[in-house]
Amino acid sequence: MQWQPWAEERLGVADALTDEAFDRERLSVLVGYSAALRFQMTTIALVISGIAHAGGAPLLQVLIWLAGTMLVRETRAFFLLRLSRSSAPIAERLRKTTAWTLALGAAYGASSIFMLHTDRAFDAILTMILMSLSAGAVSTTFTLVPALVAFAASIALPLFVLWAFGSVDWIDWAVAGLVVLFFGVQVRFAGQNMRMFADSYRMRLENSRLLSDLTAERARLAAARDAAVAADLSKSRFLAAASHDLRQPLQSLALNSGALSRMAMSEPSREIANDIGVGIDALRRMLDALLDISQLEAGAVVPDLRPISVERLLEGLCLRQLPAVQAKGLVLNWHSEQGASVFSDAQMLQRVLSNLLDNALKFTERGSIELCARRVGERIELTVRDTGCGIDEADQALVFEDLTQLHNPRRDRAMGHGLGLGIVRRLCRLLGIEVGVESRLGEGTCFSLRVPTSAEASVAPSEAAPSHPALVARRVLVLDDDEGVRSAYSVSLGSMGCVVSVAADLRQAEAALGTADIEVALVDFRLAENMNGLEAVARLRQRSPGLVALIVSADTSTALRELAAQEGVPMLRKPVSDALLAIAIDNALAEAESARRPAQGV
Amino acid sequence: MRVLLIDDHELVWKGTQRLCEGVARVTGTGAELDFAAVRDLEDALALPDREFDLVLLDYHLPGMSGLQALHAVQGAFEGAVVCMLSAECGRDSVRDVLEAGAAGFIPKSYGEAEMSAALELVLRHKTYVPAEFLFAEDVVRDRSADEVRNEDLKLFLINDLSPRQRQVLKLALQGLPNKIIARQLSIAEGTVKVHLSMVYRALGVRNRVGALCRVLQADAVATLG
Repeated sequence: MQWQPWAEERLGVADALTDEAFDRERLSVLVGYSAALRFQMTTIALVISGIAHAGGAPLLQVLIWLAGTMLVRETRAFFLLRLSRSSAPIAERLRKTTAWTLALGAAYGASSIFMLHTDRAFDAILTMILMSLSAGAVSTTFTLVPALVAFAASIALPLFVLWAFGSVDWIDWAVAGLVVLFFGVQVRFAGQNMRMFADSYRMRLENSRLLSDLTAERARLAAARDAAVAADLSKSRFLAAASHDLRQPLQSLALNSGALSRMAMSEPSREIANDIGVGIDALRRMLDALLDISQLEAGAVVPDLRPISVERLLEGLCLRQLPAVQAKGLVLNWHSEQGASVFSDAQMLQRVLSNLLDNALKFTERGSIELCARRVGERIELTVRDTGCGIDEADQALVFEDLTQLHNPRRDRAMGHGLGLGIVRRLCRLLGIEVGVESRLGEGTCFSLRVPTSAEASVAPSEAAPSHPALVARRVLVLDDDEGVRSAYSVSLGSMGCVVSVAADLRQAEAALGTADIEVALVDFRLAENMNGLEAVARLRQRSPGLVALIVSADTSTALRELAAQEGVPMLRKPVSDALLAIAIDNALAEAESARRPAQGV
Repeated sequence: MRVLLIDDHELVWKGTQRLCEGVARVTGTGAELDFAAVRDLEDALALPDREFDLVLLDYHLPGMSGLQALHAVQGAFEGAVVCMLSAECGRDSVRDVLEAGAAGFIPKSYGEAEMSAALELVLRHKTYVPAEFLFAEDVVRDRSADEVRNEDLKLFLINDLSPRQRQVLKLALQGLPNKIIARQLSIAEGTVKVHLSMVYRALGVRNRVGALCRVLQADAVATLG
């Protein structure tokens, strides 16, 4: 009996486990059918018995056959059920199943004996019934082709023998031939069904394997992602540890070498101590740069974007660089558009600019270095221009690469380590700054940075302006001789919802009182033309009695405060924050209103 | 002058001691310099004598944040000026540490000359803030139009602050916690807070760090006396 090849050939699956699983599946399909067909099989046996008896077969013979057949069927069904649950090797179980199926076939096939007693018409009916039974077996037993062959053969063989050897004419021979032919067809169909079954099983297997692969893949991806996150974390941790732990010995070296160089010692020893100091210094700077770069590469640095005053930025930078620039006999100029501001990280932007300035200083022997800021569209362009040796056009793209050092063929590390512009490139990428370089050999170099401004970033304002409901639509007059102060107040009061009028002197203020219905006047104590704020308020109240007014002053001596109190004018001390201003105006208005109300009530 | 170093890297103890000796020699307190170093907070708290003038505290002690360590040290060494040493100089850590009342933040990436300059300041009861931080704070600070300009700040501090306010501000800028300031001046801690908030408002700043940056930027520390 050959069942194993089915599994291997058809499935093309080599591993024994899968073969076994397939074989178990074959057995369970077969057992399922045989258990479900008890009623039909019994009916067939009863009909055969009836026909055989009606055709002339002795009752005893018929009853013996019927009893024997029923016994075989029931016993087979019982054992098949047990086999399907047994833990014996699957090959053995299949073999036993085939044997039981052979027995069943033989039992039914034995009914062809009755043909010896019946005439041709009954023979034909019996043959038809038996062949139908055999045909039905194809669809119940195809998963175990040897069993089907055994079953069909044990029906077809006696039929063939009886038709062939009891033949009287060609019709008997023809029927015998057809029985054989039909047997062949059955075996072929069973084989085909088996192949389809194997195919569908394989597909099911593949599907479930794909599914489990997919699940496994997903799990693997999740694991990979977790690993990546962990690696990133551990990289950051490594960096932090490196920056922390590498610095300790270096710091110890630096401190001790510093202490050493201050000690009394011979000239050669001092030279050695100095050389050690220079080496440690270079090491320290290089470690800083390397750690900066690796932190930037690891994304461990998050910029803290804020509005930055460009004027103050340039001034601070240049004032710090000035001594070094002047020591080299160079001129340092800086210029910024007034009030320009960029939206960036102060420390990082400062780092970018000071690296560029360092570079300019390094490569410029005479002439000047210039730092400028001007508005270009939505951005502020910062340029660092020098009259140094310049960069060959071919090398201009190279300067931002790490460890590139032009004009330093001897790789003298005292001239730097070639990481400065690499840091510039990384910081600029992080800050969204476009970097450009323009240079001509022997004439100088100009690095330009286009830095984002608040205008670009204003989509999401960093701090929501506090609203002061009491001040909405209040008409406020600001009287101050300084234009900057006027516009600052007008912006901050405007943001509180006030309607602001401004005046530089009393004449303008009086004019404003005429045109706009002013409720509050905010007056600076020191006004132009030697007028003080209290006098101005008095003059304004002549035109508009009961005008609510506040005085702002840097000078808040007791005498002055008493004077203001006499006039009924609250005094605010400079500088006044927005919140304080709002509260003071609100209070003054509320007071004036409560003073007015009882008067109206009388 | 008694100095305590709390750093888990014994490697830097000797160097730091030499640094302190050098600095003390320059500041003229060299003769009495008494230097002690411990590995962690536990050892520091176990010291029999806790009368230190200056505590140098490593920002990265194992098992606790720099800020936690700072608070613990401030609690345990009352009256001592606490200065942070750190291998890294993150904006936020500088801000937090100064806000919590440290007398300085000295990056360990500094060279010996820079470190000794920074320590000199701290030993003179002034505050050291890394220049990069100071600069960054200044360029991002909002300025109101009528704010006292840097050039005028010295005059403002002398003329417009009361002697008490100046005293409180000076001690705050030295890095002393409010409680210690209150004790030194024999006033209530609440009074210290009121004084400070008035001074902050007058300077146009929001907190201690802002005031510190403002005063340092204007180079006006000396005017506080």
